[in-house]
Amino acid sequence: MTALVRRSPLAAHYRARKAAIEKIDDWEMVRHCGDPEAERRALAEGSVLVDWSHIGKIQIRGRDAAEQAERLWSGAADLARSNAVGDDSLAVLRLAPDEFLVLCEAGRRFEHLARLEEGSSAICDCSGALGALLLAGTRRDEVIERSAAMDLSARALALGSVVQTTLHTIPCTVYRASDWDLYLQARDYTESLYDALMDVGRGVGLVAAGLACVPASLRAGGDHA
Amino acid sequence: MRTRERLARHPDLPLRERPVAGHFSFDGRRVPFCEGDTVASAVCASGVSVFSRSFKYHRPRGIYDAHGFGAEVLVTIDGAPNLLADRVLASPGIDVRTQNAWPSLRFDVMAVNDKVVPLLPNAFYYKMFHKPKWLWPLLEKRLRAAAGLGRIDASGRDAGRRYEKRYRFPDVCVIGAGPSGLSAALAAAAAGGQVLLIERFDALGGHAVHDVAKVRECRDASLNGLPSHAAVDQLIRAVEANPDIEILTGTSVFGVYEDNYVAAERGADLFKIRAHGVIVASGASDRHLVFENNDLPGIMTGRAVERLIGVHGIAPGERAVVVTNHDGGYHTAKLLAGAGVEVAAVVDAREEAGAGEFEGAVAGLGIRIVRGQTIRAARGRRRLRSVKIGALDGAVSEAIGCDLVAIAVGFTPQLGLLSMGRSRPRWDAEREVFRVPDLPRGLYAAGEVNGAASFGPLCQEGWETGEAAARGLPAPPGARRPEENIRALPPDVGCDGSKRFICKCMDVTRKEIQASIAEGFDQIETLKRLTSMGMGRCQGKTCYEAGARVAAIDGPGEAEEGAPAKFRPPFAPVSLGVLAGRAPHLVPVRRTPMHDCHVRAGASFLAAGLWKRPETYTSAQEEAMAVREGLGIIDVSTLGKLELSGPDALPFLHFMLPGKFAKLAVGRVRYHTMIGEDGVVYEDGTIAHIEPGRYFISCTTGNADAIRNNFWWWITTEGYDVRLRNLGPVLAAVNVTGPRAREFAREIFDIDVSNEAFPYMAFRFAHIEGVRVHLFRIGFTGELAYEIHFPAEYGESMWEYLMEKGRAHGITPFGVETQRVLRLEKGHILPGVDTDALTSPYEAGVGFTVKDDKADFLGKAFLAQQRERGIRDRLIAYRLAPGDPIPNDGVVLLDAGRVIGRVTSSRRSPVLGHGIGLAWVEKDRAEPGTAIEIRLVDGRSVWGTVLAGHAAYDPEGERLRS
Repeated sequence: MTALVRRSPLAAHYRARKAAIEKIDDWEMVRHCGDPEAERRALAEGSVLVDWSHIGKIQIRGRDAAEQAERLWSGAADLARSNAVGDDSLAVLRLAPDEFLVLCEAGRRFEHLARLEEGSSAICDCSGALGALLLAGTRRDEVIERSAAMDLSARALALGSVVQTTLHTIPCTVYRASDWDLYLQARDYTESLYDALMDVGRGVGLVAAGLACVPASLRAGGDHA
Repeated sequence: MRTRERLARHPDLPLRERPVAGHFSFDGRRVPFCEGDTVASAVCASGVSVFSRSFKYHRPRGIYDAHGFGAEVLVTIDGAPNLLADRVLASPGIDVRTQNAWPSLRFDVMAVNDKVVPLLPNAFYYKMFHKPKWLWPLLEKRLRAAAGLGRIDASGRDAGRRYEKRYRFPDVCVIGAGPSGLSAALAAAAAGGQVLLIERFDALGGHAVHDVAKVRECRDASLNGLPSHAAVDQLIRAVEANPDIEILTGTSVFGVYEDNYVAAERGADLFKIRAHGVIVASGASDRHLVFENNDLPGIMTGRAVERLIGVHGIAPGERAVVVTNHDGGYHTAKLLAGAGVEVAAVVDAREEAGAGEFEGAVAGLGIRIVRGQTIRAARGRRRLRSVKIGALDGAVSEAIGCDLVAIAVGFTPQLGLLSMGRSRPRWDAEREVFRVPDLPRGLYAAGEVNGAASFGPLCQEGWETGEAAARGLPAPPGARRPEENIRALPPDVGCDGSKRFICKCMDVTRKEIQASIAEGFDQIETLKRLTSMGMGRCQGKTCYEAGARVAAIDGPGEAEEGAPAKFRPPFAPVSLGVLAGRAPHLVPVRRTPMHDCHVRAGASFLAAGLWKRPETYTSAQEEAMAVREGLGIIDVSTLGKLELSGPDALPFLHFMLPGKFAKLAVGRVRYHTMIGEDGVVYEDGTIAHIEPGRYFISCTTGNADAIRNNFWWWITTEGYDVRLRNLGPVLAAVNVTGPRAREFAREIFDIDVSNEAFPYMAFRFAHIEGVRVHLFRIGFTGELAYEIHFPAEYGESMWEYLMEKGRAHGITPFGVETQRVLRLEKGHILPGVDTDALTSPYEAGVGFTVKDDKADFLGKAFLAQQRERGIRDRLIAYRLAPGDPIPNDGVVLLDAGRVIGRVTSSRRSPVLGHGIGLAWVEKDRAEPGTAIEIRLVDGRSVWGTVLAGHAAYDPEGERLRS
């Protein structure tokens, strides 16, 4: 009998490519796409696109959203719009005055949800609802440059900043963490965005990679490349 | 044809050594090239003077401006037609072919046009060969072939080319990298701006790279006294070393649009640039002079001659005449002399000697200077042999043998990027050039595009403009020294002859202009459209000034009133491939979490907005019967799903929806509609009270996003204390339905699913293998149904699980088309299909969802009006007789030939065995049992019978309540 497992929106992609799968908190995720050494090389010399849809994602939206976010990270309520705070295991992104997106390790979302109280804000566990892609590598900015119709250069979007925009006309939350974190505003677009990024990235050495290539870190700092 | 030796040295210019870097093929001939060569310069060095045949008359044409403007050097390179040979860098092995000539460039049969076309009436293609009607289509093909450009390679050789879109967001975008552009870039960077500098050539510097004039009065004192080429070198180095300046070379800007949006092409890349300030420093090209046979190969602009010498080390002739009216012509003559070319004469239109730096130097070289005269005609067949010169207002005085004429009679600003459909250029009587006045905010002009000037003033103007652009200030006033303004010669200095070309791209002569004006086309816009003047490859860059001034002379108005038409994009040629980009980026696709399961099951898909949904897996008729007789399953993940809670949840629902929900018990579900402020019904769905004070609203796929945004808008503006969760992407959903659904449900859910414990229109939370699901006893099919909503990430495995579990019950996946058949049997409406932008809920038969005895709600006022007005049309269900053809959706209903309604949905019911449908009809024809005439698309009619309710199948609803 088929077991109920959680799968990324890109599961079909990985099946077709015979990627190596690992289980993380009931999620079937990709460890590598067949050649882990080539993926590491691309990370150093080109760019990689990693699916990490499994990470915990909690949306807080409403009048007391800032108070709720403060429960998770001291000082989050004072964040300016389009800024983020966090560490290796938790990041709080302020998307709007009344809206936050919380990112956390896959297995810890219930722990964080338990710390939130439904006041005048809607709190939603969106872990499975939002696709999440990680764009890393020395040439990652060149992929973004070909994909975003707004200025996402380091000058316009500093490390630790977040912006809601479109990539290839697909609505996304773009977080400049240690790499580019791309959170689709609905998981159903993930395959389209993935295809578009891989297509424009061909010229700048973009390869599909698994989680083994990039340690999952939410910290706003450092550089995987 | 004699190969030209590359110049090893020049007394005024630093020439570098040029070893041969490779070879390419030119019409099958092996041509060597040196580093930095364009195709045109390499071919020119190989001794070729004729590059192409002209558009209409097939006259021989050679290099004219060498700066990538003129159509004279159009060639086909590796199958790509209409490339400018003076823009494309030579590279090994490329195959360059000349075009628009047959059988060869040297002997072109179509050159007969040069003799025949002048015998035909002006613009004959609008006047002749249109009767009989069949003649023109045949002739048009021939004419187009004869007056064509290159041929597109249809073999697909270029199909794999990758077109990219790239974005830039500088503070200041500088277009053109001559002295003013370079200075503007440096100034903008110094003012703290991030700068993007775009140059269409592969090297920076503009015309200054072959300018030997000493720099004076430059703001950067270190440059004073240097020859301009050395000074511009220093500017280039400073720009290249500046980390705040990004340089794009080999990049053509083809449009500057609203709000400083700049579009540029480099190879297969399209750059989309949004800048706070845009500085157009596009420069100027040599003024076009109109005289008899002014298109002969061997006639070049002064700057073309200088570029060939200074950049490519080529002496472009052996015996030259320089035609001028300012010191720049003497500069050209001096460079020619230094290159070993015999300068037969400098023909200066001015009566008096000027004070320029080079006039004396040329005289010192013993070169003959002819004053007060200019060129009147050129002679030669395939290339120039001699010129006739004479006074501006008199007859020819003498002929001079030569194989090269350099035209250096001032400059025409390149205004295209400043005009761009916004502004019409105006004549600046002081500078004697056309300029674009009143630039929009953030758009600046600097350098020779404002009129000619020497190096120092150009740098000054560039610097001031760069600072202003970086700081968002108005453009500096700019100024020209009176002595640097160049008098404009009359636009046509030729006294006779029929081959005085104004627009060389389209082969438009002065004679044609005169004839067209005589026919009434005396406005520049109509004249342009009739003659195609300025509509060729260069888009008027060369001829706009001459065309406007000549038209003004020949037209009815005053000569001073002449002005060219507005320039419109594209300023530079751009390929359609670059504009289009690649397909994957155009339309994104939304896929449900179970999409791949449907693919593997062999579903055919239909587009529902951006969604791809299974249409059917086998056939709608087959799948519908499976649902009616057994068990079916459909993916309904695309439904909108909203959850409302909070203190004001109920008041908010009462405001947003026309119904009342205070008595909706926890665990119960109710059908609802949504009404716009205009009283029109635009949506229906269900609302479930899932926990005390928590409501779950489902809505149709197409309206999901709009409804969510609408809810947010009203929450924000009306201040309701409501928590709204968008569960659309959070939850996937399926509907399992059919008479065997309960036995299946018993196996998979952990709750009592008996009719008593879980009746129709009820809601429960339940679990499947430990995964919590929202479970609704609702359906769209008219059968016993369970709608299961579960976390989207389980989508695939849940579908696989249900299919596996359901196998014993004969579970059959069915698609959207099948669902449409099933719902039509039940008469359920589809908003947007069975309703339109005027539909009242009362007329649509869903008036029972409106409770207008409550306080204000959206659309209440209009609904009251509708009630008062009464019902005009009704949405009715009808049935056809077995064997009747099935009408298409949208066909009309007739009564004695008069249209009385229309069909909105029409299908064959597999379970009933006849056609059924929904239709709008005038209310007095809506009584049950009325016969209605339905007109088929083939003109026949079929008669239907109006049903008592909307449901043709199980009208009592026993099956879904079972």
